[in-house]
Amino acid sequence: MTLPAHVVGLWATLNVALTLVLPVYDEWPFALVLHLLATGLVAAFGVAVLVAVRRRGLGPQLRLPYRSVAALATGALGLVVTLSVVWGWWLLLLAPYPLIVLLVTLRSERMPADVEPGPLRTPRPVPVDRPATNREIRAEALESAHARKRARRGEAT
Amino acid sequence: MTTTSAPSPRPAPPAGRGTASAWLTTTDHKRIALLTLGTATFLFLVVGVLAMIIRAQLTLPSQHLVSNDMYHGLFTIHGSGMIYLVVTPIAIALGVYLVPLQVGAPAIAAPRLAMAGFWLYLGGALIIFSGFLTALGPALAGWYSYPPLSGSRYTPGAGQSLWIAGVFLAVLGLILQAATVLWTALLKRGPGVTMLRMPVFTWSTVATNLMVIGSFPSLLAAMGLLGWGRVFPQLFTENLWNIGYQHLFWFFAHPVVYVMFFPFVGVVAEVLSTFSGRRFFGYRATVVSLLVFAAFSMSVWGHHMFSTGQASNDYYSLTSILLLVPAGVEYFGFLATVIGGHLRFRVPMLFALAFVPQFLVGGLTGIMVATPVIDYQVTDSYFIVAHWHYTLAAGSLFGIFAAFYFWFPKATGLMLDERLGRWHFWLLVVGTNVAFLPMFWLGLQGMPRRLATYLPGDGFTTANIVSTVGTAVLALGVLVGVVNVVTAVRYRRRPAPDDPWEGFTLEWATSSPPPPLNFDDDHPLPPVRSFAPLLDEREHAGQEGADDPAEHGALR
Amino acid sequence: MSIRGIFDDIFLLELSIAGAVFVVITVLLVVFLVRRRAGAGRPASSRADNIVLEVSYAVALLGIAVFLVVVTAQANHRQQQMQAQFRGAPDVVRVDVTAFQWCWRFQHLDGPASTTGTCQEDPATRPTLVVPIGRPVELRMTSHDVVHALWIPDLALKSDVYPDHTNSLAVTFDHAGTWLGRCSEFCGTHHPTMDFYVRAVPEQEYQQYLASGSPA
Repeated sequence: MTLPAHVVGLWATLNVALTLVLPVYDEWPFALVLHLLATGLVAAFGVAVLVAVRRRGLGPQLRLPYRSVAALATGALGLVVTLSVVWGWWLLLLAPYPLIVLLVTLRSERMPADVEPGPLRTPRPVPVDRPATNREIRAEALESAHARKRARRGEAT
Repeated sequence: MTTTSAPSPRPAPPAGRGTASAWLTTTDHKRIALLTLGTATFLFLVVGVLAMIIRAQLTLPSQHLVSNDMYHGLFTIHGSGMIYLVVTPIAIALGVYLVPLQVGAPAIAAPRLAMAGFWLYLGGALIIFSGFLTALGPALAGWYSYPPLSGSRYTPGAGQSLWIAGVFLAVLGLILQAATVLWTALLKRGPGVTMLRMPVFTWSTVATNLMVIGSFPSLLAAMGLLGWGRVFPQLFTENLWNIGYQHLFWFFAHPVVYVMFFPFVGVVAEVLSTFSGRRFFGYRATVVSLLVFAAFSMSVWGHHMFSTGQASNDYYSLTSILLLVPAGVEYFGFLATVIGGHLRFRVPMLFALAFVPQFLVGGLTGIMVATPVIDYQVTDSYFIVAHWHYTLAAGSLFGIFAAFYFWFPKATGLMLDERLGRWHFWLLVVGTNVAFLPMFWLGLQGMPRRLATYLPGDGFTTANIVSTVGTAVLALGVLVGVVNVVTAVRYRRRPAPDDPWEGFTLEWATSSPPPPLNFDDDHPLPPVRSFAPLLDEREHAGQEGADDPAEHGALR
Repeated sequence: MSIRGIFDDIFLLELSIAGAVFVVITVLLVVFLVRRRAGAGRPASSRADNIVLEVSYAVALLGIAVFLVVVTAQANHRQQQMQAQFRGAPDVVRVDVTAFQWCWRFQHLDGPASTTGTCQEDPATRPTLVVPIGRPVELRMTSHDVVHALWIPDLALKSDVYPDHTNSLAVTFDHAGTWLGRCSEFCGTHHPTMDFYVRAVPEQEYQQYLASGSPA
């Protein structure tokens, strides 16, 4: 279950180990700090993975936005902000427009939480034709999966 | 939840999936990836043309086809374009396309974030190229843009500022895409796909994207520092900031080399095992070696600074040379897979096979340049230019073309022409080696890199002529590839089956091109028991009728 | 043993290892491409792992890596020690080198001699550093503007040259001759022509040069 977090964690640990050899070679402390900061970023990502696994478990993404105008707005905002560094701060006057679009679409583009994106079929062998998993078995599997999920959350089953 | 029994009220998919606005506001990871890959491929051709001008100028001594400063602009945009805008985006976007498919997921995690990544990348690319339109021309301080040269005092003009802004934006976008791919591989896998059943390619993207998250923010800091220094040029009269910039930059720029390499190790592993008709040999060893390789590659950046006189060379040399262990393990996997295989020499296989010895040249010379006493002599010479062209052009580019020929049918539903593909391959092999091998010699002869021209008496002429001839052949090869794609798309004569290569991984279980959510009623997700699920299925096919369906009914 | 000699030794060592590895892998690959082609009719192996083999192979690689690390680190230390020895020698010739966009200035500390140039395509515009044969020479390099690098290819001598920082290279010239030096760190518009010469002359001639400021 927590293997993903372990992969990230072990990887960050290996980085720390390599960092700690640096002082032996009397390297400029800045290099050490830089490496530790980067490891910190990876570790933070690992913590996020751990939290996500604990909270929502593993499994495919089921809640999807149906459009990505917010992404376009983010891109436009990035463009305006960086160009304002080059061509002058007045360009920032344009920034509110993509920002407003971004704020509006960020929520409105999402689908309601109980809406699934589409059919995710249960496994079936590919080259060999055989009947699909029947309704009963699927219901049973679902039930046990849900039970596991509830147990993980500490809810009564 | 994960049920399909109750039809749910969902908004109808936007009408006209093929329209431009549907593409540009998509949340489908395949389209996000194709937009990114398409942009990068187009820029590959553009930036490749710049290389042609560079080679034309260098063919003969004392040529001045372009002015010195234009030449400097050309190699800056060629180098930074290939790295920031072509190979790295392809390496990451390949994961955006393939990882959700390979882990049996209907979508990528946070698709809008991945799409924002594309827009930022596109914006960055446009900003960098807009430098050509400014009065003083594009940026011309090289792809690493050391201060003080890249400061406003020595490189005035908006071109350099635009370059800094563009690199910042593009790399920010790539970080976003990489994070979504990593999140998908770690947390959003489909039923039955455990971590140790992920294909080698998916594992390679895990290693890659861990490096992206750890090291790419350092480049953002470096670009921030350069931008700051353009406003306050006084900053770069102090050694502290100059050498500090080099650390920030190389802390990003060595890992990026492996970001441009690992995904293609994954690609080559997939292609080799598919066309060898067997599982990739040493899966677990390769997975571990990729992760160890990635971790070590975060600690080798100082080997770019051996000649600064301000770095602990022994440490960086130690970590760099140790990289040969994980690299060797991966090569063992390549070779062992081929040695026990039943080989079919289709075009993707040819590219993957050529990758093995050609990248090896880059890797072996990499050990040389990781050795301080050798690096003191060859750094900043054409030896280095040859070395990384062997890793990036003879290596990663061949990986890119292997991936291209391998997954083009999947992504478009069209087969590419096998005969043209072979021409493409052989021209590229000849061109690449004729173009880049003489550069080793040039470097040992004493030709510094970034030389706009040289004198007849320098003794560099013959090797440069040979190299230019090679470049022309290489360009012809790429042109054949372009013709191949254009004719395939234009005439649509060869529709691709779902699984044209007898592939092993989940993307071959779905249609070509895959449906919006990757697997549907007609193309359901097969059961996954190992990292080569379709091969398992084929092997079991003859042996038994049906196994216990409950085994597949379990969702996880 | 000279700095160039150390480079040659280690380069040759790594070149032979690299050559051997390249040949072994390429030959293996080619042989099995032929033997294992589909037409040869051998079925694909179903073996996916051989942990013992893989681990022992990795350990062997580690052995090679450690060997290379040790040998090359020793070579690096020899090189550094050699330079330290030169610097500490009582008869060392000290020269302050200033790099600027786009040429070099060499200022001898032993006498009033100093030389610079304009470094254009015409070799006559390049400065010539005159040094005595047999005595260690220390070049103390700093830059006036951007990062440059001093490189004398034939002597395997290179160091970056920074503003606000002094790097040093020490070397002995054991025979008379003229060597070409270049700037190897990209430094702007006229980087390609930022060349200079080093000329080693007998002690007597060097003394004359120091006194008069021009080689005999």
